[in-house]
Order: sequence, then structure tokens, then C-alpha cells
Amino acid sequence: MYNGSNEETLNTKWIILVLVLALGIMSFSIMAKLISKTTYKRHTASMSSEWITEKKTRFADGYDWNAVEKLSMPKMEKSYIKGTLLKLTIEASIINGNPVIKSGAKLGVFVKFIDNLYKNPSNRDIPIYFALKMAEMNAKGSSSRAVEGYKALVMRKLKNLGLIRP
Amino acid sequence: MKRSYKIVISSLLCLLVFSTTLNAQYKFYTGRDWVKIDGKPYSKIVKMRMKSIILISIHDASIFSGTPIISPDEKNFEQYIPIIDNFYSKTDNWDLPLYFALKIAGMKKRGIPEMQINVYKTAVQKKLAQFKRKG
Repeated sequence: MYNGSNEETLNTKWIILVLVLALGIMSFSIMAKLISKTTYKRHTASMSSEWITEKKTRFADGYDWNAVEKLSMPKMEKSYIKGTLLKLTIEASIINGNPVIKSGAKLGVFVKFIDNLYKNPSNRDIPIYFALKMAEMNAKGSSSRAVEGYKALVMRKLKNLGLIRP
Repeated sequence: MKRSYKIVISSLLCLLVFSTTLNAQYKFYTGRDWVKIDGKPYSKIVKMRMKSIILISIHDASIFSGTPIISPDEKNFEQYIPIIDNFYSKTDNWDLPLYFALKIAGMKKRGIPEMQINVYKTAVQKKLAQFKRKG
């Protein structure tokens, strides 16, 4: 009789312990999920607001280009995305019958030029399409004056058309 | 002539132009490349952003080169992502370049009948096959 009640108390204690542990694990996983969700949301908000507030055009421009640099991924992957953006720009313009570039220079050369171009904040409003054109001018050996002249012309035109916010 | 027919005919004319410009060995950015993005170990938001920038780039290039793929006033490209994802979920569509997938997504959004979209898709596939055979 004495042993039986002792065993019962022991069993009850075990059950309580298991229940407490299970509850602990459950609450921990719920907390972890909540924390990861809020961090994820905050990260998303900061990423998009940064993009939206700084951008003055609705085109893919230097802000988008530099945003690729901020993504948490290996450098190779970032270069691949940038190359893809240029490849698609070229492809679309060719399919439309008005190729943005006429030479067959390597995309890597263009990526490097555009990386440097967008390092300067004053160039970030230039759409990638025109940055690519400038990269081609540079690769073909045009003088930096000619490239700057082209840039000024494009920016004036886009501003006149109201495509760049003042 | 109905507006939707005009869209299909102008798209076919664009196809004629591109087939004379590109080298037959050229590899387009197709559904095969698009679906690879989903396989990357990045967060959903990063993948969405990547896809969105990609679509904006194509659209910009089409505007600046004279024929916008979809409405030039379009700002929300994220709404096209699920349509394109769904389009490329069928492996038959994998060989179609993203340019045409975006065009088809735009057609779907405008409510162009499925039959006309299929006519357009078949014409593109035929042209691409001819283009590959040339090489």
C-alpha cells in the first residue's frame, strides 16, 4: 500500500514533468516563429523602403543595380544577376527590332563599367538600358567626354519627359 | 480589326525581326533559367525582388526600344510573377524566352481569350524552332 502510493506519486511527477517539458518546447517554438516573422518583416520593410524612397524613376536604375549588391548572397551570384539584367535588356531590345548595343563585347566588361558608374550617387537615376549603352560606347573606345555628353543628353530628355522625379 | 488581333500580328512582326538579328546558337533567358531562381537558398522576399527587377529590366528595354511588352504605365510587376510562375510550371513552356512569357502574362491580364494566346504561343514556338534549325 505504501509502495503503491509512492509509485503513483512518482508517476504523477513524471507526467507533470513531461507535460511541462512539452509545454516548454511548444512555447519555445511559437516564440521562435514569432521572432523570425517579425525580423523577416522588418528586413523586408527596410529593404523595400530604401529602394522606394531613394528612387526617382520607375525604371530599373542604379538604385536597383546597387540593391543587388546589398542582397545576402555570394559575389558570384550577384554578378550573375547583374549579367542577367544586361542579357535580358539586350534580348528585349533585339526582339523589338532595335538593339541597344551593336557590338559583341563580354557582359562582364559591361558589368564592371556599370558598377563603377553607379558608385557615383549622381548617376543612379540613369536607367540600366542607357548605362549599358554608355558601357558599350566606353568598350568601343569612345572618349569619356562623348560618354558624358550622351549621359547629359539622356538625363535631359528623361527629365523633360517627366520620367525622372525632380 | 479587333485590338487583340492587332497585338498578335504586331508580336509576330517582332518575331520576324528578331529571327533575322540573332545568331542561331544564341541562348535566350527562358523558363529553365526562371525556375532556377526558386531553387536558390534565398528568402522568398529576395527571390521576389530578383524576379521583379528582371521583369522591370525587360519591360524598360522594350519601352526604350520602341514597343512596350505590356502597358508602359505598369508599375506593379509583382502581380505578373505568379502568372509567369504558373506559365513556367508546365515544362512544355520552359523553352519559351521570358520576353514572350511576360507578353503572354500581359495578354492574360488584359483578358485576351485563351485561344488567341495559344495561337500566339504556337507561332512563337514555331519561329523559335525554325530559328534553331537554321543553326
